[in-house]
Amino acid sequence: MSRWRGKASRVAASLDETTGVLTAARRFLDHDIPASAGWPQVFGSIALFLFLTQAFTGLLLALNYAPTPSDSYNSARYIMREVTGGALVRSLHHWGASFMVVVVAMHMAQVFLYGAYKKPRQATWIAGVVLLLITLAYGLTGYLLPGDARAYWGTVVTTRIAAQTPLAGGLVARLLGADNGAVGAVTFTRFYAAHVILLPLLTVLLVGAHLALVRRHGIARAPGASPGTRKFFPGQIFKDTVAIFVTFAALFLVASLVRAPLGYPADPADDTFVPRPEWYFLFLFQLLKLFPGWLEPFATVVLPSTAVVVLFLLPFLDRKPVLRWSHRAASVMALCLVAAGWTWLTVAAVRGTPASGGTEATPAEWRRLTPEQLAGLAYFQSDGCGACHNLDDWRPFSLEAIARRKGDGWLAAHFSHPRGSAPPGGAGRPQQDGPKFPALSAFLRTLPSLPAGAPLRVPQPVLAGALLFRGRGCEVCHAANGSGGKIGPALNGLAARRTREWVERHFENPQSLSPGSMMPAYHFTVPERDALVSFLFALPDGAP
Amino acid sequence: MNRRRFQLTVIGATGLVMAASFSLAAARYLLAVPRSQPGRQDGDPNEGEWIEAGDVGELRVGVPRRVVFERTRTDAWKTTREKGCAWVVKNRNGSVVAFSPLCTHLGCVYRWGEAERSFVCPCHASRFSADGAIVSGPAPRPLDRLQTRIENNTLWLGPLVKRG
Repeated sequence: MSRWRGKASRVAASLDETTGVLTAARRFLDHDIPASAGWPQVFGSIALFLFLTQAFTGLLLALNYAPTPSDSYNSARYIMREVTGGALVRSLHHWGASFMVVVVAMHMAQVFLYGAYKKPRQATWIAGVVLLLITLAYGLTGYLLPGDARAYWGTVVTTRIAAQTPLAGGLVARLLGADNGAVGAVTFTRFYAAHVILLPLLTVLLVGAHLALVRRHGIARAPGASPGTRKFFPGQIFKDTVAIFVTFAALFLVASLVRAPLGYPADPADDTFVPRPEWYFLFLFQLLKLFPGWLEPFATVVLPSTAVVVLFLLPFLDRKPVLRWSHRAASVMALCLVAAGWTWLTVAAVRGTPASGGTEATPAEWRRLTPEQLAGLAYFQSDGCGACHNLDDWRPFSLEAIARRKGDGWLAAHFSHPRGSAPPGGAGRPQQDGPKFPALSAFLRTLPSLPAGAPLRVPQPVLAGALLFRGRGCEVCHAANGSGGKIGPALNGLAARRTREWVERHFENPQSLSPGSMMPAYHFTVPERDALVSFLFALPDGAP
Repeated sequence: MNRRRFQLTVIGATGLVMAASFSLAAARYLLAVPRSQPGRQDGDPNEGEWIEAGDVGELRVGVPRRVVFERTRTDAWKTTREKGCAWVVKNRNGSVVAFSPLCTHLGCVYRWGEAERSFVCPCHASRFSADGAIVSGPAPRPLDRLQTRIENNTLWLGPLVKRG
């Protein structure tokens, strides 16, 4: 053992002689810090750890992600559903961003309360404010990249707000790649380039400057603390490590238990989606509601700009050398007011969000399925396919991947001979035939475009109604979600045009309510009638 | 154990745990085969499916013919239709053997050389006879074969025959 230690020492000495890295590390670790420094000073180290985590997970994601409007969503979905550990890596990145905002805010609050922005630490504070803005810019630019409805609409709103910048709004929008408020290919590439190249470069430069300045001026003593010093290593490093480990454990736990959201693909024609920004921008979103009409630029430009300017100028606005909280009541009160205001606005925004707004679990996506696709889902359930195939996740055979890779012929062969995929016309006759196979295939083809678990949210009456719609020949004359005949009127938007009672009476005697109609009378049982109306009233207003 | 030693132990242990956790997550992410894509072999014409390749009657005994077909290709998150090809040779007994179009050396696309009466790879001059056996060159094994089936005079090409 001592022989190995001796060898290690010689290698270390040789390395240090060539590079000086060990001497530099010793000098970095072996410096004095105030004896009052301790747990309040860990937030900066946690923020640095989170930045490194974001860089690492971001690099992993970039190895499987395509930053174009046509591929962003599918590649994000590929990462979430098919890459082993992809959901964990993306979730670490997603929640890591939220953790970062919280920790940066806590770090700034601690620095503020300790008066560590005052002379001679003005430059350190200013570098920190820029890092705060960069952190928020990461959140803004990263928000678009998954390419789902939340990402798309959130960015439309963001770029339009940016376009309201007085005098330079058009230029700002052009810089963001969102001329005329349109979010497209250029927006994607610019946001991606900013997120993975520009902002990380700036972060490295500024973190380096920030740390150099902290070393230059030393850690600020706690207000009212007595003089005295201790060594940075190992005491403070120990506290930093423990705090970082707690953050790491919390992040891994959250990322493992709560998957990063990925809604349905962005659809510029979707009028049902309610855009919302990420939670740390909700206060700005809510602020807009307090300044309607011509006052809107106050909320979008004036107030946020003023806040940023105040932050930058804080060391010059508050020059008093006093640090004790008891003599800085106004400053402490201001911090409390800002925190309270942010909380109040955020809670109000959350409360004001409709249930279907900005989440993955919107019902809109299954409402667009055609009667054949819904019938396929009904057959999937009734014929026991769910015994082996789980619609909620990949286990054990990914139906989504099968739907993308296999043709209708293979699917039909598999439905009739599940134990081996026979070649077309191969061994054995099909055991079943009829309308089920095309409907099942049609349903499976929808899986790549549906959020996970969406088929499970289709109400049973709607499925029964779709089966009836097809079984009783309704789609010969009427189209639903773009599928069906054109002899009778299309049925999308029926719920907005007619009452339930009208529709039920119309089944019984169409000519009494629609003179000259060719529709025959239908006599349904009560459950059949209810199911059919449930299906018809679930159809969205606009056909695809 | 004194205070300093305890602190150093905690720093080292937690650092190791965090580094190992991130490394394991990264290794799974980068190295594990994606769930929906079990191992595929190069030259597999349609990812394990059967493809119609033409009329067997148009083949001449012992004369290799290159058949071109459309296939479905799944590339991560993209599914596309693209052209594929294979070399087929009809035997005296009427059976048909089909070869992957890729040289078994480094995957170049070979051609049939009339003058050489053999398949010739332009990259490193591997040569294969009409039955796929190695004639010369650096190829490590004979040409990879595809499963074949004839139904109603139509040739169907299937997955690659698993290498022994």
